[in-house]
Amino acid sequence: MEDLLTIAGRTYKSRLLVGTGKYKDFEETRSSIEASGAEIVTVAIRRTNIGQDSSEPNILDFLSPDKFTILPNTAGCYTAEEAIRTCKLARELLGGNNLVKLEVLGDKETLYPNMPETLKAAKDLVKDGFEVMVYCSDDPLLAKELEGLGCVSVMLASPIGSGLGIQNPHNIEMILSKAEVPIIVDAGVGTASDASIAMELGCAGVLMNTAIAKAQEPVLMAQAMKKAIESGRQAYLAGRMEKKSYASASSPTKGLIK
Amino acid sequence: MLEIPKTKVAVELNGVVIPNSELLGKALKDQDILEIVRAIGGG
Repeated sequence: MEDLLTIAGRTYKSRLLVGTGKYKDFEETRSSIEASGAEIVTVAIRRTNIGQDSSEPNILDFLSPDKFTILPNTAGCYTAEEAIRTCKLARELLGGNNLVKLEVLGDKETLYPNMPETLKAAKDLVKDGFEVMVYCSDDPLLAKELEGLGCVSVMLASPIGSGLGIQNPHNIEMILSKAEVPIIVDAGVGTASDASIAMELGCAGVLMNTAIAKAQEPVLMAQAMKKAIESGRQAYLAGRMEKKSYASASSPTKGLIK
Repeated sequence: MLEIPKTKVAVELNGVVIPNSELLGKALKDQDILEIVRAIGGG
């Protein structure tokens, strides 16, 4: 049976979700994302100037909503009110698409979520018919609370853009043991092994941006991340061997020449 | 008439999102506050 990622009733072959920021240009964005095999791509929502060149390239010209699931985020929002307003504009912008990535930030240094405001926004957005993928600190109780509010996925925060990798495997394992919605590691990934570790833990997917966009060769890194996600998932499904304190010979001792 | 492609923007008028289908012919009054957004690259 095919191993698919299901979010809000939609299925995806790829478990790699990618952001679209920090690339050199839209062409590099598109080629990297195509190399990654990702089907869900995040975008930010920002003001546009009246009188701008109406023929100016738009990211949606390069990443068509017909081909990708466009996941608008609320990056840069520090209150529930700002995030809700951004989601409502994003829904109109994307022709009624209800799927959003909710992130309400706590401060500019860590970019960790402000959880009280996140909970408030999640509650209102779900009530308003949004399908909320929510950026959450690695707290098992809060993750479960967001799931209970009706969020369709919980996305565990690592320091965004840090490249530090998985800092909290035990918390992730605790969250996974109780979760009934897809748990996704969001940000902080630096290289392919970080993505594999997240998948080997049992996460449903990984969202990354900077690790690909700021690699020396973004397309090559995108390919590496695709493989890392796939191999990590396969290793998780295969089930790792039990860890032992001492060595255990792989060759049989019977018939040994002495 | 604003020269902005309406399929690539969303518009909020005085804090209320205006459906794109209703943008054409929407008259503005003095003191109206208009917010126009688009999608950009982001993670």
